[in-house]
Amino acid sequence: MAGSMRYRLRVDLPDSQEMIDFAVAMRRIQGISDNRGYNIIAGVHGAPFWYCWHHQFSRRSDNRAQLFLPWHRAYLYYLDLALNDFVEEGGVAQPWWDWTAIREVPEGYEATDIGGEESPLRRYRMNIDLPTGDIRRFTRRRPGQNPAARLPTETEVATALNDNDWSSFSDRVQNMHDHVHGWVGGDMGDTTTAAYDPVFYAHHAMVDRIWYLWQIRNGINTITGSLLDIVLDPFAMTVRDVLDTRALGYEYADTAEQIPPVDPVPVG
Amino acid sequence: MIEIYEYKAFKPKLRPGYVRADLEIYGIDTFRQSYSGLIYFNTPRPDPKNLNPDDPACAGQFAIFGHLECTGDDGHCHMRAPQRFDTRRSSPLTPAFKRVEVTEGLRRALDDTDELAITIVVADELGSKAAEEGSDYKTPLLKCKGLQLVTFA
Repeated sequence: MAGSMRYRLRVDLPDSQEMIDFAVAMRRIQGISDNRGYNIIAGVHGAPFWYCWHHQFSRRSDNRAQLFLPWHRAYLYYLDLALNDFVEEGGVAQPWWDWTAIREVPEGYEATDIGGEESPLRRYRMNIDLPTGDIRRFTRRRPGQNPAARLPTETEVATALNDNDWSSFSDRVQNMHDHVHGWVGGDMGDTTTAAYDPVFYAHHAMVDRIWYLWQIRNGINTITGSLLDIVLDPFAMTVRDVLDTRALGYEYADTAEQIPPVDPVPVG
Repeated sequence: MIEIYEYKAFKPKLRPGYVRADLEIYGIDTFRQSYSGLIYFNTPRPDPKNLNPDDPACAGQFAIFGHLECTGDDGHCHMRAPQRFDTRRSSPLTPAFKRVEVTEGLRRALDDTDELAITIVVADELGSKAAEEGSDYKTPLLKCKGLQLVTFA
């Protein structure tokens, strides 16, 4: 993962080097209980801090404050930074779960071990202090238990990418997003605990990737103007700040292979 | 849990030549478990025991990412009244809005009639296991202020 950009790659098998490196970083931040750690970062989305933006209205915008995509981009960026605070060389990037191709929870997130150690991607032990009763248990999934739910298809993604109206595009992506939360079920099916499940971030990387692909086609600034200067609490960023993934140091790639340097062969 | 909502048939005021049709669902209460919905136009009541999210007769689909229980002190999940000069974000429980594109489904349904009967089937992840899980789950699943059919030329 050397170079100027971090390339987010598709979720791979648990024995791939990218997944092993990512798991190492996740294991490290899951072991930290202060505000650098996973438990606090996960708590920013739902309980106990409740900052997430979904299908909401706002008095500050006439456009239903469609901050779903920008807010979650800032959120994943924040996790990126937290992960890379504990990586000595090269850095790690979050993988994306292409649910149009992998029609189940990816093996990389279901395996019990990654890199010879317990996987930090299969589940996470939540530690949430709440007035209504603390939550101290492992996250759970119940994939496919909703008879009306299914994972979005490639056709639906293509339809969204062909919709050049930001507002309509955002609604389409959010609907696909909601389907995936409902399909995975368990803690992923409840805003309260969804972000504690590590697969949440692979799902949202896919959502963010769809926006990234849409921006390549439609330009990065084709977003409702009234949204641009809204601050994405609790991150010190506005919507404008998150429009360009390259300014945040990452892109979505299909493959990225390291080629080690070689010594020159003397020929003259 | 599976619920079926059958709306009274009506004659939509459509102009010919629309290029897109959306069914909007507004004022949706998301303070409940997540659920998915299948939208049907002019079809017999779907069999709830054999729901198929890939059913070609389905005119559109939607899903709601819900928030089942309040995790705060008393009143935490009550929506606060807006104040003047209030720049805070709206409550996460502000009623949601969904628009579902139904262009092809609408054309198909109105091919040989001018009446439209809308049926929406919704289900949560528990399906028929709802009873086993106790009564904490909220009902009705699709609690909203209304629907609106919108077309664009």
